[in-house]
Amino acid sequence: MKRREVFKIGIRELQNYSHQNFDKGFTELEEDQQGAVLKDFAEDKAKLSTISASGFFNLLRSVTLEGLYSDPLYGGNVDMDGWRMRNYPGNQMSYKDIIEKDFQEIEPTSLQDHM
Amino acid sequence: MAKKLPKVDVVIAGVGWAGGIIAAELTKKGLNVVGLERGEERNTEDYYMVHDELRYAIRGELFQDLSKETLTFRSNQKMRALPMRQYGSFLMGSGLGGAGVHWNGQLFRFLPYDFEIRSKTIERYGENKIPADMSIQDWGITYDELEPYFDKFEKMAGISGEENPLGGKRSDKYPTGPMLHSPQMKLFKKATENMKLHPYTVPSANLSEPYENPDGISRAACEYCSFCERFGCEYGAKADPVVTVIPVAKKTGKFDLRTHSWVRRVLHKGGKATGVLYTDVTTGEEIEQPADVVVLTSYVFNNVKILLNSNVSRPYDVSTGKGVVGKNYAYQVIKGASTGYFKDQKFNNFVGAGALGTRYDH
Repeated sequence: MKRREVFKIGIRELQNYSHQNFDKGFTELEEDQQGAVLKDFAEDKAKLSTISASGFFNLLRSVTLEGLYSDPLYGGNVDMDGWRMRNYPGNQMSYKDIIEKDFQEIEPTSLQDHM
Repeated sequence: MAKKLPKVDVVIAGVGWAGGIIAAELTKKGLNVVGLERGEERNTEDYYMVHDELRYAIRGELFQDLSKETLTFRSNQKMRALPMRQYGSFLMGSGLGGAGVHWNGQLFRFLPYDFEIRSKTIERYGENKIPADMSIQDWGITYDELEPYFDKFEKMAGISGEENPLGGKRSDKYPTGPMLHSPQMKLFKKATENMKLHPYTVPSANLSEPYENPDGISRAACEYCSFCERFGCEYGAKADPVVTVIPVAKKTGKFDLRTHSWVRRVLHKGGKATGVLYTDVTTGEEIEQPADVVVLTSYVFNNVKILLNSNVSRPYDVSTGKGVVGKNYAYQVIKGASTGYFKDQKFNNFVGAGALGTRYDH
């Protein structure tokens, strides 16, 4: 299956599972309930007949991280706050001046600055 | 019916490091060389927007596209071999320069011991040290025999480094000095020196300073931007075939590079290779390229595949230990990692280069 096909099914199953257990859609759940649903997927406690629940969870987790830390070019990491949170300066052309030095805080820049 | 082209001196299947070096050396000697590369052409200009982790590091822009062609794996012959669908450990290359484009650039010489690993092990520990089913062998070539070529490669690529205190004898020093030392490296150096070990700076294909090699190829110095492995170098500071040997071959006018040309089989007659059969992947056309010399340089996996498809030698059979094609594939794995936390010190962990480090042998 292609990733988008896994996603299509996975999101639907997430919704079904939320309805079965909490009588509400996933997005309408309380945060701890959402966490419980995701945990059941991660640990394969949610039994799906179509795809692997934990496989879908892992995919969802990695794309979430990708959205958080990839260049804002892709629509995530808004205002480079994902990078700022980790003191990561994003796209810089050179670190020759600081390679030998202790930690330096640098204002992040993105690929947009190239254009 | 395949289209048959005029015969050339040499045909090379796969234009990465091995293919690129052979192309440069043979064209310099005056031979006509055709280089067949299944992937696309690449240039330093392609990396203007290379600081894109998602595109290059995660999605693997420069790797072999596993959705088109992959490998199958099994741990023993009884298992069903399954295709690799996602990259994990090793990152197969494709396109001009091959995996030599997205490498890190750590370039150690083998130690003299490595070449004679079987005899040296027996010498030290006796015959019984090596299990009967272990196929470990000497290389059949010694460090001393290969030393002039290490030296030549280092000068071609502009390797930056300092002598390994416990390494084999060198005929010359590295052509460029060691990379700059980060605070982390300084800590490691001091600690290992205190332990009476012999630390040295990792030999690096990321140039520590601007360099012109013996072929007249000039390259800029590394900027420590930290986008090395899985990326192409936007400065051309990291030695790769595209910025070193391939332009040398091209300059001779004797190198005919054909990209999107996928070698399928070695053609042979009476036990001698006569050329290759390849597919132009843009049209699907089959083309025969006759040559006096056929060189397979498309990494072990593809070389083995071509050899098996060509029916030129006996495939290795793991149950009998007989046959040669596909035998003794070994993948380098560097194991062991440790993390240090320092109470009062914070580091620029986002800064670095693919071949920036300090290490010691023992």
